[in-house]
Amino acid sequence: MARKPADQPLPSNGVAITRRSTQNSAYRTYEVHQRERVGQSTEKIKPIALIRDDQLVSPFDNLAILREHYPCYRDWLGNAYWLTRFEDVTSVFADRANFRVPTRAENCGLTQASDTSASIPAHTVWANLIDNALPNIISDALKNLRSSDKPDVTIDYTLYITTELQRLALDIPEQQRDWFSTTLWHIQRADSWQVEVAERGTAAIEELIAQLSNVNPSSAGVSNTATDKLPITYSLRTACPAATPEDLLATVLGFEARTLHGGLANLCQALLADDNARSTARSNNQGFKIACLETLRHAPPVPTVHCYARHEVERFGRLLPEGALIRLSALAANRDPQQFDCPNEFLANRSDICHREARGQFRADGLATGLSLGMGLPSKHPAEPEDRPRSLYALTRDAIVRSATALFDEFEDITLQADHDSRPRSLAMFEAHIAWSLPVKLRN
Amino acid sequence: MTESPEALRDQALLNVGATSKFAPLPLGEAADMGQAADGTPLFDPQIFDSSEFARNPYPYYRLLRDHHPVYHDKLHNAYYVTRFADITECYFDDAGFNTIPKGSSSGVLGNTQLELSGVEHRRRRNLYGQHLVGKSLTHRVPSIKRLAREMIDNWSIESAPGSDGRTTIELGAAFANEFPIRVVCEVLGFPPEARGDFYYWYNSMMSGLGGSATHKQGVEARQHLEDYVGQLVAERRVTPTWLHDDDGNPISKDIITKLCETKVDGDYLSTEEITSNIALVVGGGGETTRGAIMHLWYLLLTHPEQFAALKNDDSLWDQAFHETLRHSTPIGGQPRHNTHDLSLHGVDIPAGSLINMVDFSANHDERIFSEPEAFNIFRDDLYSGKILRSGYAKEGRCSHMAFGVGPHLCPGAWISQQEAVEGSKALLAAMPDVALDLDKMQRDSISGEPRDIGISSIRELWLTFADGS
Ligand code: HEM
Repeated sequence: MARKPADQPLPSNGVAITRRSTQNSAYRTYEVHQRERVGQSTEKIKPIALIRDDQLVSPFDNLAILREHYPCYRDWLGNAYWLTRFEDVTSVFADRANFRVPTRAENCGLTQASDTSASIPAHTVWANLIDNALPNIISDALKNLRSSDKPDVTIDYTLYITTELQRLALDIPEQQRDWFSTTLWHIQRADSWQVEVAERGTAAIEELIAQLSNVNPSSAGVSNTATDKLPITYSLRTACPAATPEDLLATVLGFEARTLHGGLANLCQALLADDNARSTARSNNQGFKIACLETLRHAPPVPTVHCYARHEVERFGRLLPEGALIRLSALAANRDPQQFDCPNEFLANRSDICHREARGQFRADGLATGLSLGMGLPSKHPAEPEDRPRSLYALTRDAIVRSATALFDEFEDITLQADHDSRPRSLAMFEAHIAWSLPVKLRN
Repeated sequence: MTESPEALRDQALLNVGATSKFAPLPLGEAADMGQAADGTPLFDPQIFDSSEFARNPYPYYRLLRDHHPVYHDKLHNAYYVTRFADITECYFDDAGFNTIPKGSSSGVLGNTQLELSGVEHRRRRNLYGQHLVGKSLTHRVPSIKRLAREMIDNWSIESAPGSDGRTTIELGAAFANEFPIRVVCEVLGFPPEARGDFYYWYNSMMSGLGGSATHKQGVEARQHLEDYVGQLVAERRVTPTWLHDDDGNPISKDIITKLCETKVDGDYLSTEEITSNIALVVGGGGETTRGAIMHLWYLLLTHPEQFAALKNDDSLWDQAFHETLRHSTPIGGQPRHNTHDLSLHGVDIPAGSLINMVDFSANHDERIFSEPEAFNIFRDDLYSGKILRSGYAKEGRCSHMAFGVGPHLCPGAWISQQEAVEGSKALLAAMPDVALDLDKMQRDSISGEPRDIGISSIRELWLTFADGS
């Protein structure tokens, strides 16, 4: 059996484990601590209940049991620990010294690529797209929706918008829009535990990388110059000339368009399903923004992220062994009654959520924000920094708000098709929790 | 890539909420779980949680052995190793593959040697391992026979013989459920009057291993056992007690006394540690041996020509016992934890991963055992001699994996063989014309046949025999 030489890159869980002496293996104290005593057993829930099909749509009751009774739940079936309280999730997520959160690109198998989404040039491209290209894309998406014989907000509008943003970032020619859209669909699921889905994702990644190796940015004709003389580019390759095709894809995945797509779809769903919420959102100029923040709390598109303990670490009365997989549930944390009143309700004008961009452990003005863990930690920079664009979170929020506003301004009487269950759901356990299907009537 | 995202979405949504993805199939057939681009069959980890897998696991393990000998299950965050040769290698490499906590079992059993490796493990294992083998065991055989006879003599048959003059019993209730516990209780040195409580603790602890609603009862039972053992320990630290053979000669101190007298790292074992050892010996030796006896009888009765041969030749019992354990292995496998990064069959396994070594699969590996799904006590590729910690693999014969192999090889292997063989001889003497009562047997939900490839599934085995035969 081949042992890996010590100088090889970190394994996929990123945890370099101290080799134990081969002669006398050490006594592993965490087992001693983990013996549950009477009163500590977890009989209120079986681990299988957390991954049953019904959890794809409605995991909230089970998560509430964990949050209330077993805040650090040892899931022996899934070989993982679940954290469900807001304070616990944020403290572990922010503690990068003890826990490692793999990037999305790594989860999708792009282990050698660098995600440069946080670098100023790449980040600037994304900001350019959202501030300058988005209005046109929105207007095309509205046309798209109007011309569709079976208009569906998720497919014809939200998916179209996010796909276009990514298409431009990667210089994919317009003629290849359909191909790109399908390829991207598969890539977004390349981190699935479902082998077949993951395989298709990996094949799509290879296809896209081959395509990116051939595209010539200038021929794609998406470089742009704005009137204020500063060059504006939507092309990642132009902004980051040293990036490999793999790096470009990793960077696009780092922009977390899933949250944009899912956040927009879930916001539209909430407003389509509830007329009061819709009129509240439309009643003042902050209305859509607050409804968007509430959506990201009530129905975060990235339901869980996972991290690994870098070494044995004691938390929540348990010793988490090195390499342990920890599932951080945003769905549960965002409905923590310690943070939010009536947490299961969607309140379009919720006042106990921070309206300014959160800092540190996801708070501002003493109030918590809904966790969108896919987008990483809150930014350390001012809300409107001088030397860089605003944060990824702010860009995503703004894109959602602008797109939703445009949709409901354009189609004032838009309604969901009757009897359609439009609730957000995951296509498979741990995958994005999104209102995948929003068939609508555009005018009454 | 041709389908539109809309079509892909619709297809994916169809699967959401599908309550039973895996319809039951005829035993021996595996569901189609898709194919990779190169035609390799894919494996869906949700199958492990399905009832289809619980009733029909072998074809799925075959799929893994043939196509994914190391399978990374991302849903359950674990790896599966399924070939005999690979499992053997991992079991021997105690330093490279630590044992790990067994799900919720350590909550009930406590921290035991099952979860230790290296020198820590050896020190504890030897505390009582010696009482279950060799001369100690030879001395114990007469009392194993006595216990079996006592149970059979005391059968209280509830219903009168039928019009055909035959009596029906359920082997589990009448014999197999309790017999192994009685043996273990005696070896441990539990007073006979504590037996009643002991069964209760044992049953609660065993059903509590699953981490579910019954887990709490398991943990409570464990606490009661610990309270009781506390008193015994206090007595035996002062007054050691001995095991005697049937003629009243002392054989050795009983295991509890030995545990009271033993020091590890300069300290006497605590009551908690002693309780954990007791819980492990009972937990390890009860359900497993019960399953072995039930399967042995079921398989013999469904293979009458082999049973007939055995009736004529007493020496075949050992072969029958080992072939039963190979064919219908009582414990599915063992989890291990790799201490270094490794690469096996092209799969990188980072250090610290959970690796399930699937003994069920090893024992049905056609690379080792031909026609593995067939029960054949005469097979020439199975070693049925003295059980060896090093395992046996010579001249085309191999020992099975039901007891594991290497440093953690089941220390109860030898005594369980005596229990199953001596117990079965006593049973046969009491019911020479025994037959299955097919009307009462649990049947496979699909084929309607009595279940034949058993996983520890035979809960009830209904037998008929002519009274006084
Ligand atoms: C047919 C009956 C039995 C079967 C199939 C069986 C099987 C096993 C297996 C597979 C292991 C795990 C080995 C590993 O971790 O690699 C084990 C361990 C163990 N068994 Fe058994 N067993 C049986 C009967 C017994 C009996 C009768 C006793 C006690 C009297 C017993 C006591 C133990 C103990 C204490 C361990 C832990 C050994 C260690 O980790 O060092 N078993 N058994």
